[in-house]
Amino acid sequence: MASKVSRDTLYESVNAVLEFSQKKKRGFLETCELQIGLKNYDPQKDKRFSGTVKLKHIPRPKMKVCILGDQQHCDEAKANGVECMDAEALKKLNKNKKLVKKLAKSYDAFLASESLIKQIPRLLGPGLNKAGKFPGLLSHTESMMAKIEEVKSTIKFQMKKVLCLSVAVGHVDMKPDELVQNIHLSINFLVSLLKKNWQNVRSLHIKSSMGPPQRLY
Amino acid sequence: MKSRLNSRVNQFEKRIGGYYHSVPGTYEGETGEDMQLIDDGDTCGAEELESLFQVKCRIGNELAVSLNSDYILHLAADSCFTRVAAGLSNAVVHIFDVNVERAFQISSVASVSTSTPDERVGICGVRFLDDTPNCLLVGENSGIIRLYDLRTQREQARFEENVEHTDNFSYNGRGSSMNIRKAINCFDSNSNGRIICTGTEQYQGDSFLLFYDVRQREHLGGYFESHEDDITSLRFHDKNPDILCSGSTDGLINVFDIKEETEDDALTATINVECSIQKLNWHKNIYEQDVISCVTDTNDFHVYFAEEGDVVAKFDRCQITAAAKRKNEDNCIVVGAHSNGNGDLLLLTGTNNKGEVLRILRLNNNLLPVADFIGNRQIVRTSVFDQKSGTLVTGGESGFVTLWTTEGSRKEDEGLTSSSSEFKYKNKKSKKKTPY
Repeated sequence: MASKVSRDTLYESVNAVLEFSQKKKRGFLETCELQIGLKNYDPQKDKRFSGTVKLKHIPRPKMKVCILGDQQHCDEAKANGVECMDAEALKKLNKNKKLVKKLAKSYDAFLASESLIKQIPRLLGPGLNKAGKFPGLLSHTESMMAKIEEVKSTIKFQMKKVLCLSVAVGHVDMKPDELVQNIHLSINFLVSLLKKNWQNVRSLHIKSSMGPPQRLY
Repeated sequence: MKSRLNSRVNQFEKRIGGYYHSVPGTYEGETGEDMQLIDDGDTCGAEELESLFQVKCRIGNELAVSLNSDYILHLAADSCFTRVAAGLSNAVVHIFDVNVERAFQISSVASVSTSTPDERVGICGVRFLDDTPNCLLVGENSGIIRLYDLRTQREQARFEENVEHTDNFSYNGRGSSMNIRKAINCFDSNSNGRIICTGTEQYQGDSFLLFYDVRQREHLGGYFESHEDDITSLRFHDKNPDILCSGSTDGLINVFDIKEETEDDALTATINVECSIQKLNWHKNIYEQDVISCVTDTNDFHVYFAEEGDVVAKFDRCQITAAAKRKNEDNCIVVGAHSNGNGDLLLLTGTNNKGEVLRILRLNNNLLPVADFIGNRQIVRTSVFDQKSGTLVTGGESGFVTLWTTEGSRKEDEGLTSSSSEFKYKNKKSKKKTPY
């Protein structure tokens, strides 16, 4: 599919966003988000526009991931300095709603070994479901660190009743190249999910948390 | 990455001329005609295609339900496949009689309109309540399920949350904030027709599964801890009346045993799909094990074992596009999955654009080509399949209810059913140009 945002425009806008945040440093790491306006789209009858995208560069570096692992995964996690819990530790929570909630709150995401993931509803009840943090599957065939990277670089997007949505694609400490690649990837993916691809896109903007928006399309 | 970016920019410049014509604003069929189609095509020649897709399906009968641009979003058939109900985006339900033996007649029997035109209430599903073709459940987005008796053509009962009495239920003392009926996205009734379950949108941070007793006509209670976001699909098991699976925008499939007293005990399995879910369905594999098929909003297709949540198969949009022998994955859509009764899973895929392509792939470690539907002219959104006769009925964005018949040579095991049936192609209407 031909992208309708040229590389030059993309670089120009990204640089403008970064420049603005350089000029006026904030007390926190500003997020860069991509905003999309849609047209010729009826949320009542067209398909829901939501899903996940895996980006090339990690947009949220501070994300805390916890491994709910079997023996082998726990050992691997400890060796790599990743926080982990085993089945015994989960059993200690005793399906206590408050404790499960606390556990869910203290991490941004969870990954669990195959043997453990099946026990989670029985061990913890629906607490992690409710928090939207039910673990992803970590198998023994894939590298743990790569999987953690994948979780960190995957972003969710969802359009509700209004014809626009925004997704966090990075932060202002990223290099322009990285940001451009992330934006490019997200645009292409999101547009591919629209019924008429580019013909459903009304506008595209990028902006940092505190900066002015830059129009891409 | 950069070189890809460059080539895309070049293509973009070449094509830019044609792009800016689309008229913004109104969303009606007229603008669709001006719009440029997305580049797409088959990855192989017509002959190869013919040999790959052994079963050729043609239009047996087709009816247009509306002259306006109303979509058919929901289809349901009764257990004997004698009647099909089609729920439209304009909140009207059309009922058709299907006669499979006699040359696939479909005739419009009745239509029910659930709301006055100025209220914009959508339909979130239709379903026949029991084995008879007479009791039809229609779900409205506003949160009401209506039961119609098609013999008298009247509303027989109505299921909705009893907002005054919700305080009695143990919603963690949240009763006071629950005075508004929650919007629902989906519903289903169980295999013995005694319980209806509805899945709500996220409401003040909670998403609910609400249960109703069909015979007592009352609200039984609900689950609200297993999903974080809008619930988009709900399916009771075909045979076991106590087993329910639910799918949500939060990317989880939950399997419940509703016999259990509390939600904690009822939740038997959670499967993390890691992508928002569009449609779920129950199937049996060749070993008679229950599997759940899942279509995601990103047009991926996953199959899981219901009991343990192990992955049976996973295909992303790119793989499905390749299996359907199409070039452009950005144009590919996944409609849904059906069982053919022999333990095989059939996946119905199509394309956007004007939706001319519609194909069936069979799951067998890989996705194998089975059937090609010739003459399709809409983006198919929903389908019902009869295992006994191998009949497929589709509905979609141009408002056609299409009944498909198979013809031509095919291998027994690759067909839609084991019983062979040959029917002549009848062209009932003057047709627009199709690519075939």
